[in-house]
Amino acid sequence: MKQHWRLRTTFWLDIALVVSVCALQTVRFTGLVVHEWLGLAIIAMVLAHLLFSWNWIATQSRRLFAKQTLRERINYIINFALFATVVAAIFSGILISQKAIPALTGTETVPAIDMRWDTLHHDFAGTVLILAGFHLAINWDWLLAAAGNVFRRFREATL
Amino acid sequence: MRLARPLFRLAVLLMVGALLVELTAMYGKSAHPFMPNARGQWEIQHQPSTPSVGYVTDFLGQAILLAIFAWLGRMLFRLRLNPAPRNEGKPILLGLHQTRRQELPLATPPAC
Repeated sequence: MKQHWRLRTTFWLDIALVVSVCALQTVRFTGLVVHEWLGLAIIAMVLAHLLFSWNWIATQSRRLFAKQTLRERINYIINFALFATVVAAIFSGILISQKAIPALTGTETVPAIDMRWDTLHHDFAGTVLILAGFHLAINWDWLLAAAGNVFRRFREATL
Repeated sequence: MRLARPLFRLAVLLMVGALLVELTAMYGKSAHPFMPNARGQWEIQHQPSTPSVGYVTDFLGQAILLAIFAWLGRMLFRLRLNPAPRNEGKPILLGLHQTRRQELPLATPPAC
């Protein structure tokens, strides 16, 4: 039961992350207020995602310089690059924040956005989308299995 | 006590995150990104605050882009990244040597 709760939570958290990553790419659709608050909320989502995957992270980090398969090595590099790019996108987003950070800190909004950080923020966000696609690709089998498990149990519960 | 382990893990993640923030700050100071023109800069400075459902196609476009990258990655990683089947490159053992050893004293020498 505990295992299923964990699987269900991880699965829906991952779905929320995928939707959030897509939504964060479109400021025109979400508007700046939702964009910035969602960008801050994604910090908690990413941390929860990493904590749920801690066993994998710990094992692979310990075996970093040991003999590994090519798949394991590439998976580790993609995951680390994705984490680094997400951190960079969030950090640069905080630096150019016009709504959320001024509201949280009680400071006044800077009249002009720092264009250098804005450009970098867009570059980091684009890279996040690419790496998130690769991350999905390499964990596709797990995602399908988890979806099958979650929806099968859901169907069994409703019948 | 039960919380000690997740808190320690969280602290490790935050420390790695802080290190990456520091590296991003260093990169940001040294980088010379391509700046948008005056019109592009004006658009960035005047982004809408409220959501606009009319731009849902932007969201769908990003979802399709993500799906394309996932599909590309899937094609790329399926080529050789999946571990080879366990029996690949190994001879199929039929257990003939055991039978042969048992039969050896009785076997007649092969005809030349």
